[in-house]
Amino acid sequence: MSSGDGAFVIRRILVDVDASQASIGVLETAAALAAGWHAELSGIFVEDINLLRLAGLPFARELAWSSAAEVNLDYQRMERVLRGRATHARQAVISVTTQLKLRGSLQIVRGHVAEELLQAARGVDLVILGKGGPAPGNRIGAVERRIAEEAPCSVLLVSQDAIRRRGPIMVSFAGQEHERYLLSAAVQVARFERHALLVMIPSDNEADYKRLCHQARQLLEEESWSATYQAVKAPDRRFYQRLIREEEVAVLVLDGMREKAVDLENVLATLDCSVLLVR
Amino acid sequence: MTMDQALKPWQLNRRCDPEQLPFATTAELPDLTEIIGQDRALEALRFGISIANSGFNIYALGPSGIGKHTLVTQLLAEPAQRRSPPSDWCYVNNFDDPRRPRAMALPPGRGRVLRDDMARLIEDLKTAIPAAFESNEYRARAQEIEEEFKEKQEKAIAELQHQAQEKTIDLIRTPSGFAFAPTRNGEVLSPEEFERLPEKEQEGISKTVAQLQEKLRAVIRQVPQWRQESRDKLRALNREVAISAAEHPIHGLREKYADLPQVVTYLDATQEDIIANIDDFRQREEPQPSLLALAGDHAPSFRRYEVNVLVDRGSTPGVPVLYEDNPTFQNLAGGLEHVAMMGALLTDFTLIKAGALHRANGGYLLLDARKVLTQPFAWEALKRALRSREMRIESVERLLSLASTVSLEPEPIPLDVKVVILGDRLLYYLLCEYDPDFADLFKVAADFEDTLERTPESQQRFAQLIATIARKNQLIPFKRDAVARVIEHSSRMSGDTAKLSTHLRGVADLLHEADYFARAAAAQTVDTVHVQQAIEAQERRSGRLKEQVQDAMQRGAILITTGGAVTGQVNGLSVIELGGYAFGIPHRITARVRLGEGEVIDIEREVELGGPLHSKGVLILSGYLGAHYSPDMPLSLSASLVSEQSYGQVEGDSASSAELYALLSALSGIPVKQSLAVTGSVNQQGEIQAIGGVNEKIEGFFDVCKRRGLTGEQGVLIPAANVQNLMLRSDVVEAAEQGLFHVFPVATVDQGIALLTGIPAGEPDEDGAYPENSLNGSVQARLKEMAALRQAYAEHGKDKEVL
Repeated sequence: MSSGDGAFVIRRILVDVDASQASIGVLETAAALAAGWHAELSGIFVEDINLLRLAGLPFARELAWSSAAEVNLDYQRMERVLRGRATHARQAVISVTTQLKLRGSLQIVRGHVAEELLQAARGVDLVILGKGGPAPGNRIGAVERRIAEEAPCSVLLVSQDAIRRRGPIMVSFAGQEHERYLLSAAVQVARFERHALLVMIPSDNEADYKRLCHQARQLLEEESWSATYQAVKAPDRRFYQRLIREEEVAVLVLDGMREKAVDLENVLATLDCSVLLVR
Repeated sequence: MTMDQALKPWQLNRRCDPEQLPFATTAELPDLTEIIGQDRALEALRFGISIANSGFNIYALGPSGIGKHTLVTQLLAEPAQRRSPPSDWCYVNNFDDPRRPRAMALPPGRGRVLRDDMARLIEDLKTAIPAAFESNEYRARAQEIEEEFKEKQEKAIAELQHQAQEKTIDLIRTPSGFAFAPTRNGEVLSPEEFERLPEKEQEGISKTVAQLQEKLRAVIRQVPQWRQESRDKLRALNREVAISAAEHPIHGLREKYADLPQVVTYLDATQEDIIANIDDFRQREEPQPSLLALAGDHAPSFRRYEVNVLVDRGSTPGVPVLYEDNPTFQNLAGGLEHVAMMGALLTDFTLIKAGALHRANGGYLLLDARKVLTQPFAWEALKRALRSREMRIESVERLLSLASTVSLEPEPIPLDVKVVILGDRLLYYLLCEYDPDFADLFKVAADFEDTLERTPESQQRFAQLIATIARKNQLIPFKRDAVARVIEHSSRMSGDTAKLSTHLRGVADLLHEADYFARAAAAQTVDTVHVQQAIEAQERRSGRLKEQVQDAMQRGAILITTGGAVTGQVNGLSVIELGGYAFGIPHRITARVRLGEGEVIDIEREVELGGPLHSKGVLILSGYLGAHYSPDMPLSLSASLVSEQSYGQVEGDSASSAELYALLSALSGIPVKQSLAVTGSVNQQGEIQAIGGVNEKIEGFFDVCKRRGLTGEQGVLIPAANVQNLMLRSDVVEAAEQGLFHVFPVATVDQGIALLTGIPAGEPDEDGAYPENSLNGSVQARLKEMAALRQAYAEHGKDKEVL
């Protein structure tokens, strides 16, 4: 998939399901989008090899986040836990695909999570995975970071905090050719998830703003969609943070090709909403 | 018979001379402003109304329809207007203890204003508070607090992670928490790799992991505290925002009500409560009332900020004069309504309802004695309130401990009310006798007169009263002749030629009916004929029974003779009163005599159909006989007396003279004229005493005679003392004028028996012996004969066998 060839089209979606409560929410989001695009939904459950190894170590202890209770880990138990979660994940996938009449599947693999996901991401158009969770220390974990940076396709990182938000889908439009593709992606997410669309227009003067607005409006008309527009001058991260908070933005659409790796990590760590990286 | 002993026609009915009434129709007369004939009651009422001390409540006693209510209302109107209005009373929530709502007194009219102000305040806050909480400023600050909390966790974890990584150990997320594991190139060491490590290194790793775990545990344990701190900060922020949002509008109210410290205190409490329950206001929609909402404890409901205006005095000048027509316990003392919610009955202070006592507080409350006494608990509640001088809201169920629903104990409200009870005399005397509290609480009795003196002046004022009633009820004017007829009827209603009835309802009814007949005849004014029509129509409407009885007499089913003479048989007269209508009928009284031991047997008493007064009258007869005719010899007769064809209770002694005449006739063997009827009671001296219902009795016999044809012989013997009560119907007076019917006043038995038999009674000589040809002489002779006969029997020892 490449930018610049018009509409944003998704045919196959890969979603990371680890059977936690949070990932069920992610699965539901993915299913809704898959239904919108009439795409095939492929779930993946990775039995984390690191967890199994850890469980095999003689001193392995797990500290529960909610209670600080200490539990001894052992290999068999960990296997059992992972198996149970895999079953749960399978049921969840069957449930949403049946409900929305989707083509869907779940593959269960054992290995390093990031690698397995990247492996599976070959041949799909969009990878969807959760971002952040009930426990801290992982607002953007190593896995999410790697997928965001290395996945060959578009990536949607669904924020746990923002999953129920009803605010707009936000996208920036400066009149560049490749941004038409971003706009198209934003419109489709907005349409499938029933959100409003907020288009940021970076401009220094009124004339530029009007021109860009006009352009954007024309593009949106092709998609039969409308949006609100906001002029921004030299936007920095703080500005976005504040705007996301005030407007309760649900999804921020970014160009996954152009964001630099360092920037990307920062964006993902600091912005409190879901992020769609379009590639 | 000596007809000149009969009363003259003018004595039979004291006419009201229209010439004495100086007007043509009542349209000329001014309204009557004062109340006539009730000076005693008026004085008592004025006193009772003016005196301020507690306990000086009033009982206005008199028969119903006499105008007590009108008079009391009229008298109260002026002082009620003059006095300044009492306070409004409101119930508001008691935020400290919702089960005990607070009562607040406010200057008249301001209760409603406060209620509206509070409603507006809450409406305003419902938008102002969410707006404050949706402001960017608040959101930013709240987010900052949240961020701070997250950052603290992140930082602690990151720190730990850093420490671990220095020792090539990684913090791994497990399905439900964290664990530490040694890593090489970002991968967790497998158990086999770990095994291959030198033992020392293994130990080192284990130790480090244990240390790190300890540190992690410390971090996790700190999290609840951080969360608590974060919550506290958020709460403080919420409070700050709430205060800033609520302070301004509440402060405005506080200034508005600065003169009412109680309201200011309430507003302070309200502000505290709003701030404490700020989350209720942050929801955009009104929270659904929950089961607990009404109970008031955890109530996310705005009802608790309402003001229940129990008494609103804003729109009415003066103090209230209230008549409670239906004084049930709740209507009188107020009550608590309940709403059913999920099968439970709940209430709160907004469901407190005022009673008549609340509404009349500061003024006057009029109650009907009979109604308040017949309503369960109402009388006790009234007394309790008057005694304690405060009003408590209590429910009957709770008084009886029948129900234990969620209930309230509202703060009592001080009571300052003057109660006027309107009722009949019997209830007043019963209450005096049997209710020990009554005398303390109702110290003033306003006793209404049934009648007033009939003088030219009072007739003039009575005419004015007629004019007033006619005008007030839009009746057509009454001609003075018609007025005169109404006055005569009123005198008849009072049962006394020298009195007028004060029964205003009776007068008003007659005026309405006369007006009806006048209008039916398309007359411009009401004339005598219309009043007469009305009176006759009233009688006709109630006269079914009377006509039936008279038909029975006419057909001979009830035996009454109105001509000829019969021994031992006299026409007595009695009055039947049913449903407020009284009529007289004659009945036959007979006496039979034989030798005996001197007893007079009253058959009515023997069969328990005679009342005590009737028996008393009969027993007096033996006294009379003995003393009059045979003071020196035993009374040796056995007489039996009976009121024929009487199938019900007989009461009263008005027939005792008739019984005596029958007895004397039976003893003397001299027949009694059946063309006469007799009424009057007799004493042992032989004097005839006054009786009641004389007019009805005379008319009753007159009607029977008239149907059979008046002979000129017929008439009625009445006690001389009753002459002053004669207000006979015009047809009776006309018959008397034509000499067809007579009314004889009789003062003694001797006069009466002479009239009835046509034979002089006879005066005794010095020895007590009566002339032989006199009636008394015949009686005495017969008694002597009997005594001798009895003595003869006694001497032969045959008394018992003979008797």
